[in-house]
Amino acid sequence: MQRLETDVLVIGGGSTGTGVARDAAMRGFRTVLVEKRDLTHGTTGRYHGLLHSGGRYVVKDPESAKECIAENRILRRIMPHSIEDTGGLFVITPWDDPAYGDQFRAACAACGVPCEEMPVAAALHLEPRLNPKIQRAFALPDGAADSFLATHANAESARAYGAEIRIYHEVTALLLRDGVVWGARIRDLVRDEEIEVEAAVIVNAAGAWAGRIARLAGCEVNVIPAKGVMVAMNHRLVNTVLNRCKLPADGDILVPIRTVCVIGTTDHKVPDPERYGIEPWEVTLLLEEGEKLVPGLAGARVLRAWAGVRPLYSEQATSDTRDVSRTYALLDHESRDAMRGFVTITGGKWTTYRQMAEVTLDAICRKLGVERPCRTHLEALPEPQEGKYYTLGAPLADIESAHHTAELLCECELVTQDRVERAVDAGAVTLDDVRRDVRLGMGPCQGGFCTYRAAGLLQERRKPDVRETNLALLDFLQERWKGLQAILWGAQLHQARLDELIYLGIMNADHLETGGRKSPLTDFYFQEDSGPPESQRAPAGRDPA
Amino acid sequence: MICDILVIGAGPAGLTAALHAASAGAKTAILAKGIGTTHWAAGWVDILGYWPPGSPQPVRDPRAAVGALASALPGHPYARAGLRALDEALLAFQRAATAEGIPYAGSLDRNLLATTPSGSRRPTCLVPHAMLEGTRVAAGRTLIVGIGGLRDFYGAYIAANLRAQGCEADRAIVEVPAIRARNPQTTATLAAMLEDRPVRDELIRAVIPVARGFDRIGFPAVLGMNRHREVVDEVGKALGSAVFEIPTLPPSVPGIRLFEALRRRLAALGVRVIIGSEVVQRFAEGNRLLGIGSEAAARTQRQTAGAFILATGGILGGGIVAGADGAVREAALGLPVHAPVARGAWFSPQALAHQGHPIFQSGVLVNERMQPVGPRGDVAFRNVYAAGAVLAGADEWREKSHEGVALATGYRAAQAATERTRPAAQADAEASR
Repeated sequence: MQRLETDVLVIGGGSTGTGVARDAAMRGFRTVLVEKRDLTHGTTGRYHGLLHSGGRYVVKDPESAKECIAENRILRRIMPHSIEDTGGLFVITPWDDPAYGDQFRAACAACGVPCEEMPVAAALHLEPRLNPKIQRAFALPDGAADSFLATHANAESARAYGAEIRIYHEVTALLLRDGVVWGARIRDLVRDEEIEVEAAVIVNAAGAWAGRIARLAGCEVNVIPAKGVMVAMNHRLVNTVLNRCKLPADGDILVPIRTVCVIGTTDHKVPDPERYGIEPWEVTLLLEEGEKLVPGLAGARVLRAWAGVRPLYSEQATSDTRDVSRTYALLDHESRDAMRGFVTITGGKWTTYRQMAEVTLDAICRKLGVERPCRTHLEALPEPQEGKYYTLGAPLADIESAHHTAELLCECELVTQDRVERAVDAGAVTLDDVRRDVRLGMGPCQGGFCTYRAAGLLQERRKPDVRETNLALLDFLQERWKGLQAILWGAQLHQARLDELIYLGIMNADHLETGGRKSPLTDFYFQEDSGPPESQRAPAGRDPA
Repeated sequence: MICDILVIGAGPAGLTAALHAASAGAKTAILAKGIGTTHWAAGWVDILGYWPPGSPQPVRDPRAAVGALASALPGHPYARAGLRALDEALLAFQRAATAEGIPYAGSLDRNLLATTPSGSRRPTCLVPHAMLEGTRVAAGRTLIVGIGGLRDFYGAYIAANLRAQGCEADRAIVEVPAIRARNPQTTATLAAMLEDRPVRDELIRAVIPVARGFDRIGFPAVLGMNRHREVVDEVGKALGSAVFEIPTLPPSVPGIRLFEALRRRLAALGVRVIIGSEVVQRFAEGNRLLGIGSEAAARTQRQTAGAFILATGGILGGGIVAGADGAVREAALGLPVHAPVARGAWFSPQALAHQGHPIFQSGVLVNERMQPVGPRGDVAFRNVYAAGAVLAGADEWREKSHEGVALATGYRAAQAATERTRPAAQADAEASR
């Protein structure tokens, strides 16, 4: 068995975990991060991509709002390439309480969230598809974020400071002795090997899975997995983040991201972060709510529906997850559970991941009796074009200037062959890992053309046993299918049948040789489809109009 | 436009129906919203590749298997059309394709195993001559040639899968500067480029050094478009070994060649083919369809005919449309549709499930004369017939039956439509003027 020794062991490769790893490495700690799948495989890779201004929380959760605006400003400075500066509008529609507007503006002022009321005509000029019946509009500094890119930048920066990032490494046990968590036993899922890591401090940043990790040390952490469903539309119907100006509810945010826009979300407690389905009524509800912001939205083509599971933290079990604070919690298990060398950082949201890391490392420094100030807010993350926000046209301009058009593997997302090759060479295990790295297969055809191309390239570059490539292709088709069933009708159903023509008709993929191999690294999320719907509940009593 | 028989749809079923209607002497025309599945599919003629569903072994004898299928599934389009229609349609197809310069090899008695772009060997019934050598890869040494810059074909993947099936196969990627420089974005563009002798010669020169010692050389299906035979002959002669084509991702060059060949055939028979016109209205009197209104550039045009053959395709072709509300309808004439009742029953949890996704088998039910019928067997219009993927009850991409269903039902629909004696059809047409 391989043995490692480190100062800080981080569990979880989402935004929080990579943020913690970067902060720890920058403060000079030897750092190891383990993630049981791929970076961003959990909630980070399944969120709508909103960079919060804080406006959403000013009335209900002012603490969260203040954290959001503070971090919003920092993230714009340290990772502009992961952010599109779309700005945000909070609008009062005929379905919303007009009195909320003044309350909202006052609360923004109290929280220090910049908010400017805009004449309705100006808002409609800015966003011509916006419902013309809106009564008021407020402009706030919301934005759109690419959480995949941001997480990879954090990991890259952490590595540059000496951290070791290990994906497909699953924690199987925490090692305890006399009230101290002194290490962890970890399974390398790719090599099928055990590793023992000894660490001065272990940080549980496992998101919706944090309760399970804590339990390995005998600690109870009440993380409520709260499922949020999102739907991606085929077009970028708006260029500004649109919010309903009201207390947070289902389907009240529309985020333009890359070439699409995402309507979200719902919020429902699920028993298990790995077992949940997307139900037709949830999609219907989101489209109906979206229609109130942008009339005609429900008639546009829907690309995909998916869900992320928020790691909401509460010391007491609660039934309505909207009432749980979006702020984060750092749990010191030494003072809380008499278990030394172990902390849990949970709750929060993508926008505040950096602050969560800072607070965690501050606590670790105190524990270890050292004084090493945080610098993650001062130093920009590595990026190709320093200091520039992402813009919609940038990838196209890039390809045009580099004459790379012949090597576009995924036309929908403008993914070039060399980027896929780099992802494959960097050790992507599945084609879904490649997707998270470069956005392969996330556009309108949902992998119809690029799945075959990526599999072909995988075979070219790695020359594995071809049955592994066959499995990679089949797994990716299944992975894409998973997000389609709830939204397949009309044009997207037609597209799905074209994909059947390609893979069943031309490729004979249903008879590809896999040698009885299973998908140990990808079946993780497949199980959620097989179960019966979690409820048949209809959305009732939501619509005051 | 007034004709005896108006075929709606220009996919394999519509083309077949028009061919037989015109051959039988009926004044025939095709009206279509767009081009059908020929431009996507591999260019093979599938009859039945796997039966029963989920069977790991390919069908060896498609004639016998279609017979078994037809008795097991009386609602399947093959059961409606009958084995005889399939037999006759297939022979007529081979005659037409040969006459137009793209002969197809194979027969209804035995499936071939074609080489696919994934390298799996797939049962199909007829292949264009240029793909025949690809059905023989079990013997001898095969080289798969990829072309640098073509992203829709992966020789390494094909060769590796052929080896995993016990074939002796290798691959090479050739760099052809003339192709790189012109940067073809699709296989169709590349196929047209290879009709230029200098480009073709450059490709040949690049392949010669790697081709030695192989019994056959497999290329992506881009060896010429209109002058395909000339390109294949020349490449084969220069390399001194058998040459064959392997399908690619769409667009399908062999499929385009097939479409063009059939269109030439139809033109020779005096069939007018109008593409880019969608049916938006129907004019009926009792249970007789008088005409349809189709969308033209500036206005709706009325087309009348003695009989109509609906060959608009299924979900893929757009003949069947399924809405967010769960309603499934037939797009052109609003005929009754047989479909799963609830949206919850549309799909299987596994993408490539052998049992398929029930929604893709929805379509129009017909009687033995290929006339669309309602749930109680009542004929919707006595002068309307249906063929191809618009029919309910087949999953052509899992069965590998797409062209066979189109040919058999297209042939049978045309036969039934022309069985209405010509004077009667004329009388119908005149009455509707």
